[in-house]
Amino acid sequence: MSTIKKTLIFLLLNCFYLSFSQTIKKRNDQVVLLDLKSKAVREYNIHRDTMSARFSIYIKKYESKKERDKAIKIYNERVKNIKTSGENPSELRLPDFSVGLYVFDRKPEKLKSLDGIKFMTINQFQDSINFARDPIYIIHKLKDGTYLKWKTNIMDIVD
Amino acid sequence: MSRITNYLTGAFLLFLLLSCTNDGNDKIGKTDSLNQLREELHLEKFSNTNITGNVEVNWNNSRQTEKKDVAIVEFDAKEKFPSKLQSSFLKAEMNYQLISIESEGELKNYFIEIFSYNDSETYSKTITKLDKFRGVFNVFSLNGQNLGSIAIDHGNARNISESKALDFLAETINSLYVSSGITKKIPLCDKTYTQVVEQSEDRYRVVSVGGKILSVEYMDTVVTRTTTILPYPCDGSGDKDAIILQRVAHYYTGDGKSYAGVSGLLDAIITDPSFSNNPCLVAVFTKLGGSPTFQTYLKRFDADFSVADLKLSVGIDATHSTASAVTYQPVNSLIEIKFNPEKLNTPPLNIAKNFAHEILHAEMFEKLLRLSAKKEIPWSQEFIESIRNDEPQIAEYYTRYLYDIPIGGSISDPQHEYMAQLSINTIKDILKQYDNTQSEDVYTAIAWWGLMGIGEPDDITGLPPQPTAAWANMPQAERLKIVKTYLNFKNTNSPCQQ
Repeated sequence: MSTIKKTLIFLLLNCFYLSFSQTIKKRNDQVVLLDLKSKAVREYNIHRDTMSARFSIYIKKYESKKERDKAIKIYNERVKNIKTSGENPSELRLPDFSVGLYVFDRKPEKLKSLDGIKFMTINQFQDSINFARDPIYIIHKLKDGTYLKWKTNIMDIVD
Repeated sequence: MSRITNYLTGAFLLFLLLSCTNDGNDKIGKTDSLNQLREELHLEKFSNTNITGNVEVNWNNSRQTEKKDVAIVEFDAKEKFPSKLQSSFLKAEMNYQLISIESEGELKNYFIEIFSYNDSETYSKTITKLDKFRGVFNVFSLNGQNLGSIAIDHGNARNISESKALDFLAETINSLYVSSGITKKIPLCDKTYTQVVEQSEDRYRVVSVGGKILSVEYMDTVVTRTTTILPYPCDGSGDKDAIILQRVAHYYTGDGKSYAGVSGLLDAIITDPSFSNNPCLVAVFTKLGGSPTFQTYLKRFDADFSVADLKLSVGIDATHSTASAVTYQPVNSLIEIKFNPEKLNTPPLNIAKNFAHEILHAEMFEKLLRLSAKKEIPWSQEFIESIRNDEPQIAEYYTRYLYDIPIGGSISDPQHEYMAQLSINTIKDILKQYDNTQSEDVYTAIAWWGLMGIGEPDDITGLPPQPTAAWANMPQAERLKIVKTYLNFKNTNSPCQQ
């Protein structure tokens, strides 16, 4: 093998190594495997043209209707007493029951299988929901056994 | 004899030749070092816009010093358009210098920006004559990295940034002087100075016909005056990355706008260490110093005018753990704005919006507190009625959306209702003053975020379960356009923090 060839191979290997190093430095993407029928899913909507979608995921505490009803009852009571309770009106609000993940003008990726994809369960996602950061990839199964992978944005809340 | 003479002549010639060769190598070595310095220096990469655009190195005139096994080569650098500092404690002129130090086989290069105190002798363009000098060196690597600051007091060098990258320079300076043993307190980022650069340009009228110049006539001279107020020296015991970002943010405005910088802003507020150690928030907040609108709101918390203190902190609110930022009502006359550290992976402009949004809440709380003449707001319908003459709009929003809801209606946050109706343009102004590179649609979309109501907006209608009246009254197409524009902005701009 000539010196030039050896040098070229060496440089290519270096480039490969460097690009790999860059990749592993990046923060891991959050990929969530979602069963659309799961009780963790508050609601979802996929537009016909599959260019837009919304997935609403319950914050774990409020997955149970009992907890939501309890929070609503407390809220209604506070509203009733607001004129006399001396409560700061800006703090008078229902807790956030869910987190919205949105897709606009972006087609999902079609996957034949989940081989090689590192994903978290919806349960794991709910456990770390306070730390959820853009983008969040949602994968769900289709009737034909394939999957759709959506790149979503979490809806920011500004109080 | 002749053989001996021949040998001697030969030896002499060989010696001569070798000396000549060594001499030549020295010259080549010096030229190489100079070329290397020229190649390594990238003024265009400096965050300090004055250095980038207004400073040049005089490569033809170097000063070389050898003392105690230390070899120092210094090149003078000058401002093309000399700036003048306006300060009560600094001399008007600034100095710049490129320094190369070799000691015990170690070679280090620095680009320094020199501030001199009023009571100091003028900087004598060398670090070897600092015995009558008092001031601060801001030190940069040759590619513009801010390494921190060294305070000089009559030859004593103190690495006030406590940066390891500056130890060598500080030790070298100290090795050149006999220590006087005197230590003096040097002010750290608690003052400001004003840098003024006047750039004059002669204008001529050229009369030409068919490409042929007929006459060139002098018209006038236009003088462009750039004024920047900067903190001094803005290095200290804080987080090094935060300090560097602060400095980057200070030097960011190259458009000649005057602004107070972080020192001026910090006079008005209390910063929790959780905030001042967060590089992303400090950088955005500092750059917001360039927004006159934001400053106007912030100055309302200046101790001379305000009945409340404003505190900035970082943390996750227990009740609204997914909220990007929260403003707490006054407690013992202290209003706190808390930023969620998990929500900073969004573009800096979006974080600037959070500052703007929260400062508007804080301002309303301050007004209510002032009118209450107490340390906490006495929330009640009677209190809101009692302020109607002083703050009719605030009173009206609290009445309409909270205390006097028509039958079948539901309550809504009066402050968000107020802001959605009356403050969108204020937020947009702050955003434009922060970063003027976005389109009008983007500013509008960002400003609306947080004022649409409570809950997730529906992807078809754009309406959340409890929308603000102003958002609900907007045509659906416009609402959806705003949501899409906002998400597109977030996806196409780098986050402040990963």
